[in-house]
Amino acid sequence: MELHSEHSERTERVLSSLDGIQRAEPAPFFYTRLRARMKEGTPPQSSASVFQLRPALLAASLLLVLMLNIFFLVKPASKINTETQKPRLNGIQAFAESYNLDNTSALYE
Amino acid sequence: MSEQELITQLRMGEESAFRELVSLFQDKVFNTAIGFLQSRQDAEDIAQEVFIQVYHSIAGFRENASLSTWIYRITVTKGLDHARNKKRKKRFAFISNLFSESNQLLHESPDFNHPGVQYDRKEDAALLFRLVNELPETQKTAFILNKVDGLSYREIADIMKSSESAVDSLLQRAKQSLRKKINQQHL
Repeated sequence: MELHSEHSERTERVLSSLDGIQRAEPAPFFYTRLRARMKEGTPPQSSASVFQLRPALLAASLLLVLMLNIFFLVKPASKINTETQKPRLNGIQAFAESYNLDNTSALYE
Repeated sequence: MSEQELITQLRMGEESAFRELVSLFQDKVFNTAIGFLQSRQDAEDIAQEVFIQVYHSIAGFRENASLSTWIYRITVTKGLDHARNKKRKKRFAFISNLFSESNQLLHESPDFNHPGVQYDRKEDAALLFRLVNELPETQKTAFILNKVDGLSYREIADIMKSSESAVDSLLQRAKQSLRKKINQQHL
């Protein structure tokens, strides 16, 4: 019971801690610094800073990687095999042709 | 100089009018900004940005509201934007720290001590400021404008383009939520 009243007392004390607060003032020569900044032409902080773009870039990169993965998964493996084997067959045929080798020729004749 | 004269001269690009505007509002703008950002350096940056924006967009000021309300609106918008960016950066730093090999510890920013808080209340006020940061933006705005800037419900309602009863409700919910958060701190 006592603990509870202590807690609620503290809660009310924290809540009223800003009562009678004095206004905070900027450091002296605020106007001078302001005019200097205006002369420099420093643009007001853009809402789309490089930092904010980073998550977008990150998401775009992840999406690209994901799409590449899906592309290679979906593409039939057989298609890749036939495409890669074709030039090999052609190469063997070309080799056989250049040495006058064919399936019908009998080597031991 | 009346507000209307000040606006007219600002539109004409009078340097003296701009100087007067800054001297009239610099404390208000800085105080609001420091309430949202809880850092002197960030508040100074935002206060400068507010006056630069006022300088460049005074021609488009339609005078539906008072000059003071308009400047407060710009300050609140910039304060919330900046606070959001800070939170995002913190979150990103935390995530990148998880994946980095350096195992560097992330240090929480130290508690904020508002320079206008009475000495014996500094600790309680620091806790309150930390918890205010966790409130939804509308509640946070109403709370800061009321408690830190000392604005009336009418003034806050004008700034937030809302009604006095809506501001009252926001403040009640903010206090309720803060009460709960403070109690959790005791557990």
